Amino acid sequence: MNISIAVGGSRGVVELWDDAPRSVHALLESLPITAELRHCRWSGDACFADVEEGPLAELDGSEVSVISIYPGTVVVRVAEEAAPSAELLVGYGDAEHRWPTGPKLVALLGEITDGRKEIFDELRKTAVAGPVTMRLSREAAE
Amino acid sequence: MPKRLRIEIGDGHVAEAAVHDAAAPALADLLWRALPIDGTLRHVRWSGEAAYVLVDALRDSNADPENAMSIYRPGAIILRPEHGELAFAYGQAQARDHMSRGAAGCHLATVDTGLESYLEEIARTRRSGAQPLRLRAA
Repeated sequence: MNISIAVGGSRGVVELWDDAPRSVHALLESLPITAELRHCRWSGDACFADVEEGPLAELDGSEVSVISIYPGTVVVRVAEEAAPSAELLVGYGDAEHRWPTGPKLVALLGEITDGRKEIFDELRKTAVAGPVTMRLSREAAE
Repeated sequence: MPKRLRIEIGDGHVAEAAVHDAAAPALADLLWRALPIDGTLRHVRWSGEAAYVLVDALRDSNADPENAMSIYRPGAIILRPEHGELAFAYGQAQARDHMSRGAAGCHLATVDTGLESYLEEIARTRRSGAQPLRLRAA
């Protein structure tokens, strides 16, 4: 299944994977999502958005399985006591999910398949220009 | 008398730092010879709550380690000569990159004048993007 992604003025498609079905279901139940996407401080070439409520914010950690965030990969870091908001993360280069205390597992949701270059450029720009708006939706992604 | 560094960020915010030239004589000298420095201050991507500037004149892949620091304190200015990188910590930060989760840099200077607003200006690079940076001898 595919969903639409828009970052700044660039649009693309995210192909959802089946590695973490409950997490993907929670993402679909949370759409549409409009959020401020900021550059990561600890994790490298990736951006993140806080998700403070809804099914994604209520996920448990049973499907977290990776720390690498490959270019175009969309992952979720589930909420926990130390960080009560979940985070959606999107990679555009070398990235690994890290906290000050070390690596941190995340759950795989999918990968940007269309519009990668333009969206990567938008993500990369946040390191210099500051946050950008991301919208995830079901609109015209098939 | 220790060297002092004048730091100007953005539209003219000024702070000063004491350079640790006794603890890091070779790298403090490298910094002094590189002045004046005009660059772009950007938020780090791997190292936490800090911003950085890349300066070709500070790049030295053969430099010996001096006054090594891995965990950065707010107000610390750290040189990683292998990258020609000066880092300016405003919160919890560490020398890290895509290969390592705990390297070290040279604790080259510490901001001691105008610290509170300096930390706010450095932190602003996270939400507002890059800022012009000017370094001079004070």
